[in-house]
Amino acid sequence: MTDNNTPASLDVRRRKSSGFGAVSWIWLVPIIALGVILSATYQTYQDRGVAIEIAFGNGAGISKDTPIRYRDIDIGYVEKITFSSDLENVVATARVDQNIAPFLDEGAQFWVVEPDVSLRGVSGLDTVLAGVYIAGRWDTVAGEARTSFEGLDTAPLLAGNERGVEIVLRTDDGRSIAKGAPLLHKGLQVGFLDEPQLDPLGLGVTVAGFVEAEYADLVTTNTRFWDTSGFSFTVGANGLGLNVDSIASLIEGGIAFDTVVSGGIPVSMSPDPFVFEVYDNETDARESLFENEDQTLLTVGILFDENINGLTVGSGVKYQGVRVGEVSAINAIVVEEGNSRSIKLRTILELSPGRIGIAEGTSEEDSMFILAGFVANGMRARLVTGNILTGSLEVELVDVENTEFAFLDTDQDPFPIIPTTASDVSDVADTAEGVLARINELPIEDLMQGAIDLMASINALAQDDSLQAAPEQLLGVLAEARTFIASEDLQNTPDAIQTTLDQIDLMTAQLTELLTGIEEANVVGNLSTTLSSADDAVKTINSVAGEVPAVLEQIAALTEKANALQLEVLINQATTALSEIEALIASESIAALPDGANETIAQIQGILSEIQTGGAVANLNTTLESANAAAESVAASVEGLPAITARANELLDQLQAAADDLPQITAGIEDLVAKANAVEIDALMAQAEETLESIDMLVRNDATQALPGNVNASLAELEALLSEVRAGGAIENVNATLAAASEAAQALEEAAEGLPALSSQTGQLIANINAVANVYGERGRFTADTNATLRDIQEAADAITSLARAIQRNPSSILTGR
Amino acid sequence: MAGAGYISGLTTARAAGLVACERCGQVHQRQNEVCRRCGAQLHSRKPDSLQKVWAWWLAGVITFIPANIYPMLLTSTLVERSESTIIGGVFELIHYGSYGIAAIVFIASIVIPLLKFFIIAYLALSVHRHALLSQHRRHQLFVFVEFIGRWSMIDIFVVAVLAALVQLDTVAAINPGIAAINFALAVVFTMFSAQSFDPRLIWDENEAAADD
Ligand SMILES: [Zn+2]
Repeated sequence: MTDNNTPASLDVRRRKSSGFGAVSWIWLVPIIALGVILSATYQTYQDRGVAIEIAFGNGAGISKDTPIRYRDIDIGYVEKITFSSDLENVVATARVDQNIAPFLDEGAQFWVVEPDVSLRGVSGLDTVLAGVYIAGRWDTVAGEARTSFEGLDTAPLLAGNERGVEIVLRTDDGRSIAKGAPLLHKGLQVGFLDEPQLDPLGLGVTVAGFVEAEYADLVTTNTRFWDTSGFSFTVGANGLGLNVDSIASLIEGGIAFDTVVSGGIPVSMSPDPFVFEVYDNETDARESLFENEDQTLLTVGILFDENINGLTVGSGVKYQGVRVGEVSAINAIVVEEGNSRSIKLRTILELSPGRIGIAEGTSEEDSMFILAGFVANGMRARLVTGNILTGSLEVELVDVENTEFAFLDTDQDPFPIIPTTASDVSDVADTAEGVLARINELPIEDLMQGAIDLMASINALAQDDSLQAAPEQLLGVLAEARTFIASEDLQNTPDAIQTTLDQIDLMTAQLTELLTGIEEANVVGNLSTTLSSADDAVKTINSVAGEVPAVLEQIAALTEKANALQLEVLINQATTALSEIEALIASESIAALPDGANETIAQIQGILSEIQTGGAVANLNTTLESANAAAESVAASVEGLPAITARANELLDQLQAAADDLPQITAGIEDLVAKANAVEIDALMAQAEETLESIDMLVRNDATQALPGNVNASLAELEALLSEVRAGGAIENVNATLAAASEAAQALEEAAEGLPALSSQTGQLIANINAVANVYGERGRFTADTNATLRDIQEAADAITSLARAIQRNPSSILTGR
Repeated sequence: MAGAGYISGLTTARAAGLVACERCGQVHQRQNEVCRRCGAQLHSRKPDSLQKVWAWWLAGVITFIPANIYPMLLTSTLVERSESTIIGGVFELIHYGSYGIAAIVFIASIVIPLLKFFIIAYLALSVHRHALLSQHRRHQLFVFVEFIGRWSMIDIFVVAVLAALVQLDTVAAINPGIAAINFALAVVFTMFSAQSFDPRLIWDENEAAADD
């Protein structure tokens, strides 16, 4: 026990020195903590963002913590909303990211993004749920930073993330354009328009347009813009035209553009937005391309003698089909020629010098001098038909060759006068008459005459005596040949041969020699040659005869063409054919045919006579050798006769064939004539006249003339309707509806906030009622009913609670309906 | 007997020339500087106790200020984005009618930490000055501070659990704010401060009075 009370014995050890003296190291802890906290505080202060003020016309749903977004990323939040000192504006004080602040210079723009519904779509729908936000836009170059800004009432053209080129369009009428209207190129949207604004001078409407970057190069200084909104219905020299563009542009208006002529400078190079005129329609826009507005127009006058009804101010002036200017005025002037004074109509033209070949930059005097040169070389003005149906006229500048010399009358005041030449006006009646005149002018009589001549020639050929005589002469030849063969001398020859067989043998060599001689004399050869000549002649006839069917084919073709009403061509071809036929008939070979045949026959006769009278028989009689030789020779000759006969027959056959074709020719020509007769020119005329009358009536019909007007009136009404739709606030109504929906959603949200309380209160109520019910103590009908009712209420409350929770968890379910 | 010692006739170990090892409890003569049993340093009183108390206390106060200024919770939902400080959260809970939770949060996050600061400061100051409360009451306060210290972390637990659970991408997300770490540090520093306090100092005034 005493042990326990005895402290441990003394054991002194030195304490290790702490080395920190009186002040403990522990004080480092609060110092470090303070340093860390202070540095963190400073850091937070540095990072808290730059305060800026944005003044808006109205609050438009912005509140504390409304985000400020740049390219859809939050870069700051509204801290408080106050009114400006004069209550004119709502001032939102916000803090924006420090990295962004340097870019908030003079060009920075802020606007409130709200849900917006337009024909082209719905934008800002997310703000229905998440509330509005403030969007900002500024360039990427840091400038002199500002902290006070004026908010825009509406979103600017560019929301900040588009890249492209901005242009300015100038138009006379802003009625057909609404903000956001599309800029179209070949029917595709490549940009859009801003709010149209009245020109500061009130002279027109300017509207800023934006072309997306990828299409920016399409817009050059040569680009032309035109209005595509609504319909356009045009009647002009080009006929009828009805244009309807996209529905969106129908409602919101739209501007289309195209660059037809290359060589323009892309407007993206320009530092300031390039200003373009908007033309009423595509045609004007395209035609304007050829007008260099910087170049002064040449103004010249024309004194037409003719009726210029149909020529109006604005009518085109064309040179070789190209529009080079237009009629700027028509007025009457008094012209004094000698003693007589007459009133003439002076048409004043404005010509684009560049389009009649005068170089750009040429002074007006020089241009006029060049024009005078053109006139001296034959350039004249004349009236031409612009549109045959409407009877509108145009002025055409034509180069007339071999015309009477005329000059540009520069003495005339105030404008030089271009000399005129005969007009080429063809109205409907004129044109019809022209058709008739052309039909009248067809040389049908010549055609008939040619056909008659042709048949006469063929007839003459067939009836030619020499041709008819040829067969007889041939028969004569044959008869003579037969006579010769049947002659006694020749018949007796075998006896003589028998009596002088020996001598024959002896004379064989001599005979051979003689035959050689005869062969050398080429009697048979001559005969052959003669025959071949005859053959050639026959062949010629044959080939000629071969051409006849071709001729007939041509005539048949002609007949067909005649049916096809190409009468002029037909006549030409028929004439050509007939002249060919005539030439054929008149050709020497045909003419020489009978003569040649006769000659041949004469030659044959001559040969036969020679054989008969040449002493061959006599020699035969007198000298057996000679007779033998002659006999051989003649025998050889006789062998050739069938060939002659055959050839003669052939010749006859061919002639016969040629003669056979003749009826066909005749028939063809008759056919041709019949068809030519059958061309129902009268009926044609009648029909043409009828048609033309119909056309005329149609054109003159008041209803027809009123048609364009009516259509245009209807279209104007439609456009007016559309502009009413535009102006009448349909879209604003939708926006208002959306705003209301937004408010409803907010109300719903508030209601939803109240629901848990409601449901808990309900639960409490039920509990209370339950408690009360329990007081009754009985499981009576009342209690059971009450309990059931209460359970239902409890379930309903639960359902509401779960709905409220669902809405709180997933607010978008209000919209999607799930 | 117990009553007499309880009031004034209490003899401290130091007065008896003894010192107890703080680690193993072995009692030594005061001259001993190192425990013979376990080798620990022997201190009749914790060295620089009050300095340490005040240093930790000051660090706690320093960190407690931003803990209440900066947001504790960063809540972002599809609809809105909010930052709430501790006191802001309390008011929000009151606004929504959750008075119980508001009270819990208010007591755990505001009252207890502040109370600890005041108690520790009072205890540290009362060592050398005349105190209104008796030594026993002050000792009980010290025990209370030590006991309650760990429960101050309830806020941090809530934040940690919420931040871990509510991470639903864009729909809803809760993240701890700067205040959370400051608050945690404040609680830790306060605990260190309380532990640094040597409660034996409370009783030393008797000894000093006796010495007089
Ligand atoms: Zn020990």
